[in-house]
Amino acid sequence: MPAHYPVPIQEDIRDLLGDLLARGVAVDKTTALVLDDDAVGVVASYVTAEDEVGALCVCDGRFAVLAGAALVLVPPNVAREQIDAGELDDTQVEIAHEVANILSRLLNTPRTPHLRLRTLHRLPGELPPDVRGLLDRPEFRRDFVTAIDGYGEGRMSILVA
Amino acid sequence: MKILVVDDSKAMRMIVIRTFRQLGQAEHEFVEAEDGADGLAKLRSEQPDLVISDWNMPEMTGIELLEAARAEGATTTFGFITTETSTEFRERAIAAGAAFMLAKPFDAVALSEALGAVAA
Repeated sequence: MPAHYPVPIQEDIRDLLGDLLARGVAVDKTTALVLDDDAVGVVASYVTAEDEVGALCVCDGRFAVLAGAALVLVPPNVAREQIDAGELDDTQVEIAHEVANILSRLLNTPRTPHLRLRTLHRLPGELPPDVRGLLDRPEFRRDFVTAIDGYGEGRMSILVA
Repeated sequence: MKILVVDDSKAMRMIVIRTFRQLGQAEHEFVEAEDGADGLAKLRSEQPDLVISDWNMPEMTGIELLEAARAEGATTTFGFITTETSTEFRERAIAAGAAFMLAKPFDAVALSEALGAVAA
């Protein structure tokens, strides 16, 4: 059965991130991103007008920090120190929230229910049941490794119901 | 010119203001609001010349802010910078009185063109 929601391909992700960050971004498919319970990262949940979770964007800590840093022009060496800190602070989560918000453009088509970003969940941390449910049993998923010019590599995944 | 920037993302408010500066328009006075309700309060108290707003925000959305402002008689030029760029959203924005609608991610050229069209 086809997924109910569009799942962007790597070129879509590359073009959107490139426009957003105003720098070169390379994106390739990779194996499924599995975050351990203590892994650092974020999960963005996208919902319909009826608050039904239709899609998730899961990012590892590296992608969250590096994309956010590139967006607000934090120097790469500072971003790498932030990665080494091993946790996401409130500012990093807020910036990652905006990256996730803009990614919602890739999750909407004229033929599918409209999705908007509901919440960005910080990992490690508890996830609500509807988010956990989709994380464990997506209808379809694509997993990407991204390389942001000057900043480095991180991983992100799109999962849809 | 006084510009009210309404977005629940502090990062995006910063990016909008930074983009004005990239256009050589750093002389403007910028006022920030973190959602539509805050935006409406600052629209009343600050009397800006231009409002640039996100669409999806807690408390009050951008389109609700625009509709409330127009209902109060405010004629302030109003533009959206948002991920919501479908025809349906665009038509609703224009019908409510928006002057322009830019898609995130946006750049200085797109903002300049939108502002130029407003000024023309």
